[in-house]
Amino acid sequence: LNACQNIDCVLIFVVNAAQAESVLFDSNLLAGLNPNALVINCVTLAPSKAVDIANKVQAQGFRYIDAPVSGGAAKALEGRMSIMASGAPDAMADAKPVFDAISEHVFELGDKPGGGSQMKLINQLLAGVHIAAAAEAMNLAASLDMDLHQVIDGIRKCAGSSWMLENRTPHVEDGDYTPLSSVNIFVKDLGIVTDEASGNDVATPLSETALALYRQASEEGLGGEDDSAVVKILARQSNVTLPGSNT
Amino acid sequence: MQTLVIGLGSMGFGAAVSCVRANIQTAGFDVNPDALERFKAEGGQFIH
Repeated sequence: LNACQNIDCVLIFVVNAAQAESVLFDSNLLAGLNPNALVINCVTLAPSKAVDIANKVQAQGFRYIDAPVSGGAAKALEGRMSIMASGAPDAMADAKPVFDAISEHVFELGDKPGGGSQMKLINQLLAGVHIAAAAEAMNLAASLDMDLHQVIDGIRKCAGSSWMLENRTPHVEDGDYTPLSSVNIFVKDLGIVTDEASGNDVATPLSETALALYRQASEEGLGGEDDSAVVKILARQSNVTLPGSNT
Repeated sequence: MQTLVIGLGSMGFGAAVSCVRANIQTAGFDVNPDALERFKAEGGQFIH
């Protein structure tokens, strides 16, 4: 980033808080920004961390928007992601052309950093638990020798469905765990959820159970696979043979 | 508005390409040279 200069707006899409801090504070990035430039941080991180980073960036004369995103790679490529944004009104107004280019929905969650990350936290809680729940359901269905295609096709029209069930269970049916979003993402994100909850003395038993499953998958070498691969852990525990498995 | 997208993974790449398509002056940065080449192929500029 030594060559960057005269930047008005920087969008940060690195993997985690540590990388975001490294790129912001251990590189020449901030020196290449114009005064009053917009720093839009789209990384999923703890709300308290968003506030901390915002304070440091703003102290150097830049504006900060806490702006985690959702929607997946396909929607991102179409410029149709969802942005959970919080920041000062003038910063939000100036960010509008960029938000219009990359998103279909912008949720304005207040004028202080942290609000966007709080919303993302709630989304990740549900997303992580729903993926694990869908895996548990697929494993039980497989153990009952049910036709997984029929199960998925039927349940998606029933009340037990979820966006994650519709999106992820075909990977199990196909035995294809090419990562669209990896197991390790949820080791990180449900870790943020349970840390934030326990710091506030809030019970999150479902998140903790799901997190334990993602952690076990990661420890058993599945961290880089699609997050639906948590089903393999359940299958091993249950002596179930899944599609595409050669054991 | 000169924009810089740092991190051209699945979400960052989509964001950067969407900015280019919207005629926003956009540069990309990633530690992975393959990601930079993919962005270049979509009409993006990149910096080191």
